[in-house]
Amino acid sequence: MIDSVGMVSVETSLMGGRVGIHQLGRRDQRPDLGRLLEPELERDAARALGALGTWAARLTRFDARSELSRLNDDPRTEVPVGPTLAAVLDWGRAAEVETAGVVNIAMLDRRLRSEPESAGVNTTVARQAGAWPEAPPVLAANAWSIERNARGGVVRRPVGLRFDLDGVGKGWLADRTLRLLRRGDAAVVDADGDLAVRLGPGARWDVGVADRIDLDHTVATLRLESPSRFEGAEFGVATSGTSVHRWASDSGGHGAGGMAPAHHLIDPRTGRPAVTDVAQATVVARSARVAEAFAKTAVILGSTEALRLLDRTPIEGLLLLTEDRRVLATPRTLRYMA
Amino acid sequence: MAILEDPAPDTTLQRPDSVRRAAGDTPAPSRGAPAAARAVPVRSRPDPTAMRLAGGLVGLATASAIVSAMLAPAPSSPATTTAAAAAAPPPAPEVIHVVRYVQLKPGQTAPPQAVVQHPAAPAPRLVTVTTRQSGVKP
Repeated sequence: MIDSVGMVSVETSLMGGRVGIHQLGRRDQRPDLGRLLEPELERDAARALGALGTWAARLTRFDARSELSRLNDDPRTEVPVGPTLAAVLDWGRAAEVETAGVVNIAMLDRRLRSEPESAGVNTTVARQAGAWPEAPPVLAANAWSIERNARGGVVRRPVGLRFDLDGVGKGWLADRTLRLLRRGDAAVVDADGDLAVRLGPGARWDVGVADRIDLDHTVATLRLESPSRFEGAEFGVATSGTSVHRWASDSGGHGAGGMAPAHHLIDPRTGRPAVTDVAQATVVARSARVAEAFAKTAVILGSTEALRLLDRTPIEGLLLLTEDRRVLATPRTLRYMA
Repeated sequence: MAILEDPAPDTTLQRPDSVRRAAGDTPAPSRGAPAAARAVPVRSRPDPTAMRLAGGLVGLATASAIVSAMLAPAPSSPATTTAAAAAAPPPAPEVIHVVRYVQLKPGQTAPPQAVVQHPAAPAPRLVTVTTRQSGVKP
């Protein structure tokens, strides 16, 4: 049981959503020492939030001045990049391997073509997409590469291949920011729904899973606990789905004519929004970036394939909400259900 | 201790003259004893009755002590308990629950499995954050 006294929280609007940092003060034997830690926790949270904002600014595609946008706009086939972008691209390549190609960060054009301007997103970048020749088909894993060095890295890719780091970037940002929060009993970095959680020995934290339709309703509560009074733990919890970034389209959907629902999760096997019965997937893993990658994978694969394949991966739990309002979970998830 | 029977006459046993006299045993005349031995004058001896009475009382007390010790229960000494333990299974240990009360200072938390008795304190609550699809305002 965690006493709520001594919790420090900071929140701000960032990355198109809400970003928050929550920390619990240390349950020390000396209560006076625990009280003294609270101002330090506030400083840590503010510093971490600032760092998160700085990194996010380099990775966003919604700002033409960001490092990612400059990479996407660069006419060279070999482009040097800074350490932050290099690290995220490196993780994107690793996520592609771990999810057998379902997560693919090199399909920005595919995604933009599925999103109409009326959807109100990517208006500036969507217009710039027309400046480049037709993007190559969905590429195999070896179509682009990132070579890391002391100053960051070098990206090698065909001209016209552009990167989309929305989901992959948030998971990575949550993990990276969590490393700045070492004081206190526990800490959570909430990067617009992708959570990175650190628990000290004997600590516990409850995580609610928001309903995809009724946002004020929690469909489930996950209880994350450290293994013992002597050992801490880290977790990642991420949710992906088709409920938020969703629109009707006659080109992005899969129906042969007529308006079909479309969304932002592109199936790399087809290059179009994934046909799936999964409306929302929540994954518990040992890091936020892994949880995010497999949450997206679960939505794209559909419930049957997701339950079959993801139960074999090293994730801790999987919770699916289907379009017909069923709730499905892998057996391993039950240990985290509060 | 009373003398229950006289020991058999033993030519090697040197019995004092006073004992021979109390048993009514008269010294046998030594045949062939030289005539010079008969001529030794007999000295006067003290009355043995008091000594015999004292000896009898001491013997009675000793016997009484021995009988009492035989009939009394065995003392709890390590030597005796070791032998007894080897012979019989040890009794079950007695479990004594000690209840200790510790006063918590403000900010301190109770040890695991301890019952906190403070009805006025607010019940601790778990902190919950929410995971959601990106772009959703919680």
